[in-house]
Amino acid sequence: MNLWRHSPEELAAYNSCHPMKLGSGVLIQLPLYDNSAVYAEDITFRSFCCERVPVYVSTVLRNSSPYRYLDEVINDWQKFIQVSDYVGGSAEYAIYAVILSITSNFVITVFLTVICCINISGRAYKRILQLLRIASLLASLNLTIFITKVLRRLEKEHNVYGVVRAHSIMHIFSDDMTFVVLDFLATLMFQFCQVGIVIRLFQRAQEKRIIFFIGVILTITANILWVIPPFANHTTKHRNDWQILRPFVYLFRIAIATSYASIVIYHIWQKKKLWFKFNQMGLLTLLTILVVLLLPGFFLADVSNLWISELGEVFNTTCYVTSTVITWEWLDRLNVLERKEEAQSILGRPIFEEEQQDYRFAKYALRVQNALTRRESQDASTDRHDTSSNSEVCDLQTISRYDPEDQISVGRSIDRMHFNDRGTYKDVALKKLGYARDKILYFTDQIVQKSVGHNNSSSSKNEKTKQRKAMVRKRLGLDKPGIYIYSTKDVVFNSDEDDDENAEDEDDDEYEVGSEGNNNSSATFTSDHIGHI
Amino acid sequence: MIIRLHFYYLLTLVYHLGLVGAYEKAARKRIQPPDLIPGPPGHKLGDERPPHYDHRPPYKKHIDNIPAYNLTDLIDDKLLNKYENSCTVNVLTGGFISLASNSWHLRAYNYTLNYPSFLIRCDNGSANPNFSHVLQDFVYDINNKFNVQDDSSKYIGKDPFPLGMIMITFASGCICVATWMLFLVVLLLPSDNHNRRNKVVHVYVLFSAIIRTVFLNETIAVIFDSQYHDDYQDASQFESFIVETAPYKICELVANILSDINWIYIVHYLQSNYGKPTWNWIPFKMKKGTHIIITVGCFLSLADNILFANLLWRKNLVVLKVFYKLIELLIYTIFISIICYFTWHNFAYILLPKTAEINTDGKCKTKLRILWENYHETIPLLAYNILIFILFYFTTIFFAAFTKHVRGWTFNFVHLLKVLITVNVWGLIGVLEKRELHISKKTVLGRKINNRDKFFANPTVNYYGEDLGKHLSAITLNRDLNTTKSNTTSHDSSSLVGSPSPTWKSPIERIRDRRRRHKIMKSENKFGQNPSFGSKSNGKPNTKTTLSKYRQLLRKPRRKTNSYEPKNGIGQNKEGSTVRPGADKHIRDSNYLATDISDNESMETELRTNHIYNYENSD
Repeated sequence: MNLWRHSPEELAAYNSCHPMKLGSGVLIQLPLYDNSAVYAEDITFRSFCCERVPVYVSTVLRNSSPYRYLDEVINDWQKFIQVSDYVGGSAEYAIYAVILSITSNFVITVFLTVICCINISGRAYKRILQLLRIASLLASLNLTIFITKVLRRLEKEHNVYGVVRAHSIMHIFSDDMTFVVLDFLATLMFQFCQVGIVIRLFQRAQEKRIIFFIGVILTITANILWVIPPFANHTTKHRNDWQILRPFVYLFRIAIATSYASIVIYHIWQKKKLWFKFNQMGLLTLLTILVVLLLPGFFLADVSNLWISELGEVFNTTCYVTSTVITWEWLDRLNVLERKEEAQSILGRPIFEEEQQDYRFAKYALRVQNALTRRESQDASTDRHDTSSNSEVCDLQTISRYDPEDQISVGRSIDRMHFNDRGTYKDVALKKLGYARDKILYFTDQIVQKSVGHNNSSSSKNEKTKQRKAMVRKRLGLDKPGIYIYSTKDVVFNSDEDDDENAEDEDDDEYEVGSEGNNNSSATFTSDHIGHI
Repeated sequence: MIIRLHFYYLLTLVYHLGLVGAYEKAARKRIQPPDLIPGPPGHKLGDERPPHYDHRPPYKKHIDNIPAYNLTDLIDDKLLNKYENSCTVNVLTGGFISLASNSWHLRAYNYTLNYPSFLIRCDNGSANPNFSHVLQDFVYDINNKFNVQDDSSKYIGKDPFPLGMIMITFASGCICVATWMLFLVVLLLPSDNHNRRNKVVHVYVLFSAIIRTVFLNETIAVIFDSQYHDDYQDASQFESFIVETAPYKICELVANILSDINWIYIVHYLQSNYGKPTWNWIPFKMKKGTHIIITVGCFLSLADNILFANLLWRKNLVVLKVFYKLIELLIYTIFISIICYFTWHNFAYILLPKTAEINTDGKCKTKLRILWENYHETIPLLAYNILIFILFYFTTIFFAAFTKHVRGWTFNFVHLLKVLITVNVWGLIGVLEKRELHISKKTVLGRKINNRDKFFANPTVNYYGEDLGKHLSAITLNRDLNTTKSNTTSHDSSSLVGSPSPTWKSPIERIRDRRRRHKIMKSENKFGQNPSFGSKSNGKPNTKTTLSKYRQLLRKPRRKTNSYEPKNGIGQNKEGSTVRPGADKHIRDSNYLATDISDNESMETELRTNHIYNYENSD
C-alpha cells in the first residue's frame, strides 16, 4: 500500500474475523457424501478476512432458502458495507465496480489500438505513427495479461476459499514485474508520441527544434524517475528511502500532462474557424478536448481518491492511449483542411524567414500580387481585347525587368563572403563555433524533420539533389532559352524510382527551382499533399 | 484485443466442459484430513473413509423397501419441527472451522470451508445432555439409517467460476463498452466514406449500444447491489430477472432485424455501385440485380427472425434451435461469400494493379514488389477482417453446441460480433475505395471513361444511331468497364461497346482538336484572339526532351483559359472554373500526364497499356 497517500485509521473490530466458540453441534458438509455429517462437542469457526475486514463470499443463497449465515457474520457484513472509505465495503468499491472499471479500460485500449493499426494515412509522419502503433500494441498486451491474471486469481480464490477478494487485484500490478516493465515501455512511447504531436502542431523549424529537445529530455527524465521505486523494491532492502521520491515524480508527471493538454487546447482554440467545416470535425474537436483533459483530471482524482490510485496504472494506460490516438486522428483531419486552404494562396504554403535566401519567395509573391492588382485595375477601365493583350505583354516585360535585381543580390552575397575572409583570429574562432552549431542544428533537423514531418528547409544540398534538380529543369523545359511556363496548377512529378522517400526529395527540388531567380519561370509549386487529398 | 478475450474465455469453458461429468466433485475442492472418525463410540476408532464419493454407501443397496428422504426434509422433520424454539440451522462458508470431541481422544480436525455447509445447533450450542443425544442420533440416522438424497442445491450452493457472477460482470462490461466504441468508430469514419450517408448503420449501432447500457444499468441496480448487500452471488438471478424478461427478448429481436437490414443494404450497395456479378451458372433473370437481391434478402431475413422469435420464447425445442442455427449460418455464409467476391473481383484493380512495369518485366519478384508497394497498407485491415469472420463462425457454433451448460447471456458475444462485422465491412469498403481513388490518379487520365466520353472518341464520327442511345445511357449508368484490345480482363459483359482502338488518335492530334474547339468557343464568346505561344511540334515524341515539349504544349490551353477570366486570382484558379464544365476535364487530363515512361516505348503504346476507367464521383 502507498503509505504516503493514506494515513492509517483505526479499523472497526469485526468479531467474525476472530475465532468464535460455537459450542456443540452437527456439521453437514455439502454436497452430501458418505459420513458427511459429524457431531462435535467443541466447534470453533473463523470467517475468511482480508486485512482484518470481511470479504465477499461466493455462496449461492436462494431467495426461498430458510437458512442464513451466523448472526455474527451477518452483523459484521452489514457493519462493513456501511463504511464509506476505500478500505470500506461500499458498493462503489465492491468487486463489481472493480471488474467493470478494468473491463472498460481494457476494451477502450484494444479498440483504439485496432483503429490506430488499421487506419491508413498519408506518407507524412510515418515514424511517429509506427511508434504510436507499437505503443498501442504494448498497452493492449499489458492490459490483456493483466486481465488474464486477475481472472485467474479470482478463479483460484473462488475454488479454494469460496470468496471474492477485491483487494487481491490491487496488488497484481505493483508486485508483478511484467506489468511494471510493459507499463513503463508503453508510457515512454506514448510520451514520445505526444512530443511528436506537439512538434506537428508548430510549423517553423526553429520551434520544432526547441520542442524536440525539451520534450525528449522531459520524457526520459520523468520515466526514469518513475521507474526507480518499483525496481528498487526488488533489488535493495532499503525500501523507505525510495518512497520519498514518489510524490515528486507524481507531481512531475502531472506537470507534463498538464503542459501537453494546455498546448493542444491552445492550438484547438487557434484553429477554431476550422471546427465546423464538417460535423465530424466538430465532434472530433470536442472529443479531443475531453480526452486531453482526461489525463490531468485523472491525476487530480488520483490524489484525492485512494481507490482510483489503486487502479491508477490501468487508468493511466487508458488515458495515455486515448489522449494520443484521438489527438492524432484530429490532427490528421485538421491538416487536410489546412492544406485545402493553404493551396488557395499564392505560394501554396506558408514560408518562413529561415527557409529562404535573400527573400526570394517574398519577392516572387509580391510580384505576382502586383501583376494581379495591375491587371484587375486595367480590366476595369477598358473592355477591348487589344488592350488586354497589351496588358499581358506589359506583365511579361515587368516580370523580366526584375531579373537583374537577383543578379545584384547574388553579387552582394559574394561581397559579404569576401568581407568574411579578411577577418581576424577572433572572427575565425566565431566562424568555427558557428559552423559547429550549424552542424548540430543540421543533425537535429534531420532527426526532427525526416522522422516527424517534411523537410521544409532546403539546407541539405548534395550531389543527388543537384541531379534531381537538373532533371526537373529538363522536364520543365527550363534548359532552353526563351521558354516560359505560366502554370498555376499543381504539378507533381513521379520519380524514376517507385520510392516515397525519393519522391519527397523531388518535391524539395521543385521548391528550389521556383526560388531561383536565374530561371525565367513564374510557375508556383504547391505541397504534394494537395494531390493526395 | 477481443480475440484474446474470447480465447481466454473459451479456454476456461473447455476446461469446465472437461469436468462436466464431475460437476459436483469439481466444486468440492476442500482440504480434508483423511482420518476423521465420526460417530458414537460404538464404532471402530480406526475406521477411515472410503475414497469414492457415492451418495449412498454400497452396503445400503439391499435396503430397497425404505423410501428416499431429502436432506432438508429430514432436517425439518427430525429437528426443526420438534424443537423449533431450541434448534437452529446456519450456513457456514468462506472460513476456517475446527472440530473437537471428547470421544475422539482430544484430537481436533481443521477444515477450510470453501463450499457452504450446514451447522445445526440446539440451545445455542450449550452442552445439554438431552440435545446431545438427539443430535448424535440424527447424525447416526443420516449416515447409516436412511437413504438420504441431497437437495440442498435448491437453497444453497456455489456456481462454477466460468458461469458465475464475476464472469457475467466481465462479459456485460466488455460488450457494453465495445458497442459504444463501435459507435465512435462509425461516427469517425472518413467523411467521404459512405457510412456517413447511410443512417442505417448509425441506427443499428446506436440501438445496440443503448440496449446494452440500459440492461447493464438494470443489472447493476437489481442484481449486483442487492446481492452485494446480502453477501451472496447467484447467477441464476441474472437469467430470471434480466435475460428471461420480455423487454430483453423484444430488444434482441429488434437488434436482429436491424442487423439483417444492414446486411441486405451492404449487398445492395455493392451490387449497385460495382456492377452485376458475372456468374455464368446463374440464369439471365437473376442478373437483373437489385430486385432479386432485396427479395432473397427479405425472405432469408424473415425466416431467420421468425425462428429467432420462436427460440426466444420457447427454449425447450432442440430441433428448432438446430434449424435456427443452420439458417443463421447459411445467411452468414452467403453474406461473407458476397463480400469476398466483390472485394476480390471489383477491387482487383487495387489488389493487382497493372502498370507499365508488369508489361515490361514479367519476373515474379517484380510483381511481388509492386504488389507489396501498392498493397501493404491494407494488409492489416484485411487480416483483421478475415480474423473476425472466422471468429464469428467459431463462437456461433461453439455456443450453440454447448448451450446446455452455458447460460444464455453468452450469446451476447455473438450479437456483438454481428455489429462488429457490419461496421468492419463498411470500413473495408471505404478504405478500398480510397485506395482505388488514390491509385487511379496515377493513371494517364485519372478517371474512368467510356465510348460516350466526347474527348475519348472522335466526336465527328457517330458510332451509334438514335435507336441505341437509350441502351448506351443505361450502360453508362451501370458503369461498365471499357477494355482495350491489349488488356484482357475476366468480364466482357457488354458486347455492344466496341474497342476504340481503330479511332484512337495520338495525343498530339488530340491537343490540336482541343485547340480548335477552344477557338470555336472563343469566337462564340466574342473574345479576341490571343497570339499563340510556341510552335507546333513535328512528329511523335520519342525522347524525354520531346516529352518536355509535349508537356509544355499541354500547359498552353490552360493559360488561355486563365486569360478569359482575368479578375480571378491565381490561387482561386486552383479550385477549377465552374463557368465551363468542360474545363475541369481538361485540367484533370493534364494534371496526371507526368508518368514515368520508358525511353524505348512511344507515347501511343504507353497510353494503350493503361486502364481507362470512368469514375465520376472522384473528388
